[in-house]
Amino acid sequence: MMSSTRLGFFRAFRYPGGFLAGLLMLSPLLGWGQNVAFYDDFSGDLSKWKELGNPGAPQIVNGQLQLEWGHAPNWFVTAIPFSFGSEAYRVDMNFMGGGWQASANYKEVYMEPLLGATDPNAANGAVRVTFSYRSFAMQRRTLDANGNPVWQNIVMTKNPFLARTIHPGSRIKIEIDPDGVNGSYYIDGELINRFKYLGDPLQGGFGFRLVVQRNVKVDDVRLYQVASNGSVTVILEDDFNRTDLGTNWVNETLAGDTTPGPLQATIHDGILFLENDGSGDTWLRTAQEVTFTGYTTVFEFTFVDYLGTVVYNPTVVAGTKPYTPGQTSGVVLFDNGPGFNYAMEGGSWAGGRVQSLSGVQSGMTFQVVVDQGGQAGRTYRNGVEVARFVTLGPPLTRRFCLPQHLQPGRRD
Amino acid sequence: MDNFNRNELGEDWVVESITPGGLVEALVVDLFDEDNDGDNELYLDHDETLEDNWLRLKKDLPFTDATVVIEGTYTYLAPNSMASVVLGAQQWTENQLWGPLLLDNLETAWGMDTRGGNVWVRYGPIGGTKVSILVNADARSGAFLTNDILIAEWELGPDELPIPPGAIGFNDHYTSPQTNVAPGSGTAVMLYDEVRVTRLGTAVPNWMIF
Repeated sequence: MMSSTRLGFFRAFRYPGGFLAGLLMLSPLLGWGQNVAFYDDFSGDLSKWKELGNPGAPQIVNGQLQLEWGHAPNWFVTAIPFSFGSEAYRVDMNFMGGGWQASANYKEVYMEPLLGATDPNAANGAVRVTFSYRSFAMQRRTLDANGNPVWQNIVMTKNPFLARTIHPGSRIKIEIDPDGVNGSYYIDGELINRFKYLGDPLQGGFGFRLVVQRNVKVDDVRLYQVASNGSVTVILEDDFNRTDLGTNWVNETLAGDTTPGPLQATIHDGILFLENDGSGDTWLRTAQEVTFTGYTTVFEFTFVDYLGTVVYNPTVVAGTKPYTPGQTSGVVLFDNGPGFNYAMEGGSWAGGRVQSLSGVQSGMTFQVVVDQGGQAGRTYRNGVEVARFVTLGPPLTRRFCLPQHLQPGRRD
Repeated sequence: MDNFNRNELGEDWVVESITPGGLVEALVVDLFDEDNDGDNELYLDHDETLEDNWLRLKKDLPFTDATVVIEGTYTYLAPNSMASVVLGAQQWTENQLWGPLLLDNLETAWGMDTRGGNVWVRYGPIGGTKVSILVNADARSGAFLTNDILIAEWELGPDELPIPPGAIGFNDHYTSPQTNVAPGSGTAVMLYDEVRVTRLGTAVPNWMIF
């Protein structure tokens, strides 16, 4: 991340017309090509500003702008607008201090710049930027179904902190180790988490669990096993380029017989549609079962999109077999994506049966990688990335230490 | 590299209190074979007073010059304790130190700004930080910088509307006043200085900005 600005400078000279581009990039240094559209060092009054929404208590204190918290919706904005969408801008804001000291040893600072602010009570009335040391996000001012103004999250395609989320089009892969109990969950080839099933080695098939309308579209399922010598045995490959589901899949209701069942598994334009009507717990499992031990067993598929208004990530089950009330056991649930906890034991879902190996626990290895520049990095627990961070301050310098302290804000 | 296979902590590490008026003794540091595996471990035991302490590595790390990797093993974690590290630590001086980053459980991040007490900052930024937002001419992409250093690029999803024309400014986060915990310190406020909007022009394509 740190180097892209510097790379961009040199990259500019490689493009057609790059020499001119390079000169333009140097233009701030040369003093031409850019101009200051607004500037305030708060040495005077607040005539360059105005308030939108509720009145607040803005004032200049010791040559700095002081905004009191607690008047939302209160937007303190420039009196002049800027032509976002027509011109490029750089907005610089210096946060000098403050925030809410919620406890003796920590405070909360919400610096929330506004861009394109026009009216707190209008749709697309502004974009708000929110920061934290782990991420940034943008929200748009919009109106809900009742006409009330709300902040709505903006979907971003480029945001390094969101690189590990499931999204339509993601390729999801679940890999069970040859011991039949440990495994890994990948999204688009990136390891998301490691897990351990606390029961006997898994045996059976894979499938999709559907309940309370967690409906999805999936495609290109592949189930295979890899032996220790690298040889691959394909159990099932399905691109759904047909009209009937056929005999490779079994649609089951998990609470006794129901005909017709709550799950509709259908094929449309070469894509598998999985729709649960909300009246019962179901899965669509592979008809074929395998023994997991001795092989790396892999189940992967493409998550095409959500289906319906209730948005859950695909829920996969491993170790599936014909459902028998009160008996079926040893089926691991990957809930709403890489959610580990439940497994089916004795015909019911039981919590505490699957452990996340990236959780905080004794014996845990850790790794902190600080990118060159000292401004950003990532952390790993047991080899699994758990967080990305930025400093939102000066670049990190010097040293590292092991703190021992109460959780900030905790005083018990 | 430190495997702690010795009996004395040595000169590379130092225990500090990072609480005004706090005690170094609040953190007990020892080296012994806690897990009986034949070699020693670093043992950190905090007395659970209302203090923060840290065990600081005195060696400088080249954070600004190279990618730095720090790794280790938490052999044993007591119930409700946290596996935490601090990056950019320096000798703690009351009312002066700012900039270190705390990673609680290697996951929850806090900045440190002790100017005004022993304070970890949540969400951020810490005081004295210049935050810059670059908005490209399409109003759909740009970058974030802190203290003139690029931290991330951003781009709106294809179904999102661009940022509309309009003013820039600050959003008030709370609907009711927030009173600071320190007696007499009053209502929470935010302090800003030097706001600048620079027009980068219309003909500058994205690849010329980055």
